[in-house]
Amino acid sequence: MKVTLPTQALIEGIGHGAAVAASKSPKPILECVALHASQATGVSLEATDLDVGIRYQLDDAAVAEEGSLVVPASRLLSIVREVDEDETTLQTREGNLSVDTGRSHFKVRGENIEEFRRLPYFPETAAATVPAGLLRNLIRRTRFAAATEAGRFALHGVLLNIKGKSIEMVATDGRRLARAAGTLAKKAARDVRVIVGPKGLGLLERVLATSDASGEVSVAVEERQVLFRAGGALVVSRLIDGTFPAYEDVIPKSSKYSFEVTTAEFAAGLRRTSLMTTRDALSIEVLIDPETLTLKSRAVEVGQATIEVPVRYEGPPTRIGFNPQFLQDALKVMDAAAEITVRFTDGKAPVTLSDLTSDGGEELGSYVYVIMPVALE
Amino acid sequence: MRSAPRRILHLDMDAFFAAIEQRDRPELRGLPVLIGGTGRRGVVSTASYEARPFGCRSAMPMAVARRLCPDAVVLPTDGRKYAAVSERLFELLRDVTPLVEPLSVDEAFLDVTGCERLWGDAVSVARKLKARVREDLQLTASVGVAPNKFLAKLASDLEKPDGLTVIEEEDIDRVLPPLPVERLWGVGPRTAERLHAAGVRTIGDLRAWSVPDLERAFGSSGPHFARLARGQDTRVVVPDGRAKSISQERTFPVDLEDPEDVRDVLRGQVEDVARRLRRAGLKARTVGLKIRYGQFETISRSLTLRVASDGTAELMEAAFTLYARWVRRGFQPVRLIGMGASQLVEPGGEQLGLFPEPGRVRDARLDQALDALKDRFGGTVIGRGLSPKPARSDGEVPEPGDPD
Repeated sequence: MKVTLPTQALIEGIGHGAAVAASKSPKPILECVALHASQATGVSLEATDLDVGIRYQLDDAAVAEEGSLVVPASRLLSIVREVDEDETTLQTREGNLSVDTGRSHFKVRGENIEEFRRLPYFPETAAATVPAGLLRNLIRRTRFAAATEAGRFALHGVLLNIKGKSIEMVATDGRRLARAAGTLAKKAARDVRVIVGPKGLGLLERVLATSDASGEVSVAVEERQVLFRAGGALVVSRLIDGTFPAYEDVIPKSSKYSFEVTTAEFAAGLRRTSLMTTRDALSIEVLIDPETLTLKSRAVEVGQATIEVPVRYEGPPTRIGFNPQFLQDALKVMDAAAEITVRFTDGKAPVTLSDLTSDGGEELGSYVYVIMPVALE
Repeated sequence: MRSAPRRILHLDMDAFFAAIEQRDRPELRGLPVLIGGTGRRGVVSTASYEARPFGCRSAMPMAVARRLCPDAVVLPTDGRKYAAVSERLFELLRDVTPLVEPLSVDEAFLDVTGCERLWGDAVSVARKLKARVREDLQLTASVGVAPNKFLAKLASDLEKPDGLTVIEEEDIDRVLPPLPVERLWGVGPRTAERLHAAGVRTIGDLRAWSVPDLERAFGSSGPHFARLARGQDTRVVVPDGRAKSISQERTFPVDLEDPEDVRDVLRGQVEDVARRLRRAGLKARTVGLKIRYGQFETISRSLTLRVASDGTAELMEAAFTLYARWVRRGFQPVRLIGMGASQLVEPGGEQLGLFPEPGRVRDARLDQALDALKDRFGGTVIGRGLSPKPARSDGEVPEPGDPD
């Protein structure tokens, strides 16, 4: 194999591969990327940790000699980052990879390509197609709320639900829940209801961020895997088995009171309040009064903070405890310049955050974030 | 309505360091022993009771003590050893209540108000503590029982060593007046000098002064002395941080051969520990299991819960899981079994869950109901299904509280 590629594009592509490949695995093959070069299809790259995989087409490649190669992803990435020229030539010699740049010569020991688990191909027909910008936002606004470890329900995954023209993604760790939804231009050929792991979605978000956002993403489900095809990239993620909890029931249909606050001001207040929390005293107290939100934190060994944030509110004074991180997570994915609406009943009932306009338009979709308080007494 | 009088214990070990050495080295028993710095400028940290008639006292230069008692055995301080004994001592104390305020390595206040139903009245608690100190540590302690900290500390000092002294409200006017003013909390040598200069030598003398006069003479300490002289002290027992763990263990006179029997004992221990957690208003993140078997091999295993809990069912599940793992690896007759709850957190600040957990709510109601029954009728009245007689031996679980 001998190929020449634009260095920047190569770094980006191997970067995706390195994000997938295991960083430390008892099986060295799982730490690798596979490169395939042919005159007909150009150069593509594959990486998988067996749960998540990516195939990525590298554009503008000149193939001088066809062939394949498997090398450790992070090592290859580090080497290519050292390349000074605009173009990089990758060449195999007896199963090993040579990279030459200026007066530096690298030789990387290749792994046996037979051991590399090839990824499936996208089926002929997609279940649905989703605008790339919308899908990226759905992921960005939900993924962080998934549980970090496996628990009783399949909470460590994100629910992807496509039905007719509607699409929604839901994630919850049992204490807070994020639901983002949007509308498709074209009715789905087949409904999709799957639970996808956060790593696969993170990879997809990463790929969508670097590719043309105006494009479309095709979605298919096959053999307990979900496949996303976006331009020259294919992201495959093994589905998470289990039952997603009845999330519809925990999104409050109505709350007694609500206030409006500017996202950026609320976020700044929370950031300041969090300066006075510790791992043992994580929660903060939120006092909701007409015109003013008072955020208080107190960590016995550290000190305390009292921060006021202007709000629009006309109800009775109310006191609610929160894990500030849960609030901050949501504010990060909401429009910083806009106002959000916070709906609540008391210190024990779920609280919802939503964009002031419940529908953020085609690109953003609608969003609701539900958070359970921390008991203050 | 007046709240019920407080029941405060002050426990003070007798000649702590010296007693530990005499315990571990029988040849020293009955001999005057001085523990402390053995260098030229060394100071006595503890003098055994045998050395005290010679005038040896703690904080005295070692050279002076040696002159007073030339035959005394002088030993350097073995801090690590004493710390280990001290740790065990505080475990014993915290078994009774999390409200333990350490004053030093061998001295503490305990607030046992309201413990009657679980442990018996304050005097029985004091007796049990002394017994456990004797059995578990082979040492003696002096305990004072009183309605407040000042009187409890005063009481523990009245009949040392191995004393148990009770000062009740009605004893105050009899006990306090003849005592020297130095006995008052906060009266050091300098204040004592000033009091003596003013003709005040006993607590009785001080009582003759009016509060304004005392305030004029001694500033803000004046009213404080006046209150103490009348046996009044409202200071509360402040636990040192939080209790680090609540645990229980039991050694069997004969090794238990049947895994099921061990499990039954463990069940009782979990019930007791869970109940003590709830009483202290604490929840545990970690459940630990300790097993001694065979030739004194001891294993400790622990498991961290997803959410801190004070629920009997949840703690039981964790303890049984650990036990089952050990049994699967090959059961051997068990000499000692113990379980403990650690990484304790106070409720409040508890993150509520989005999804209903009907099981947890039901379990919590059951715990509440059982606790109420046990408080009312004593520990033996009821147990969970299959719950055997409560684990009881070696005084580790006291008799049910005296009925009202």
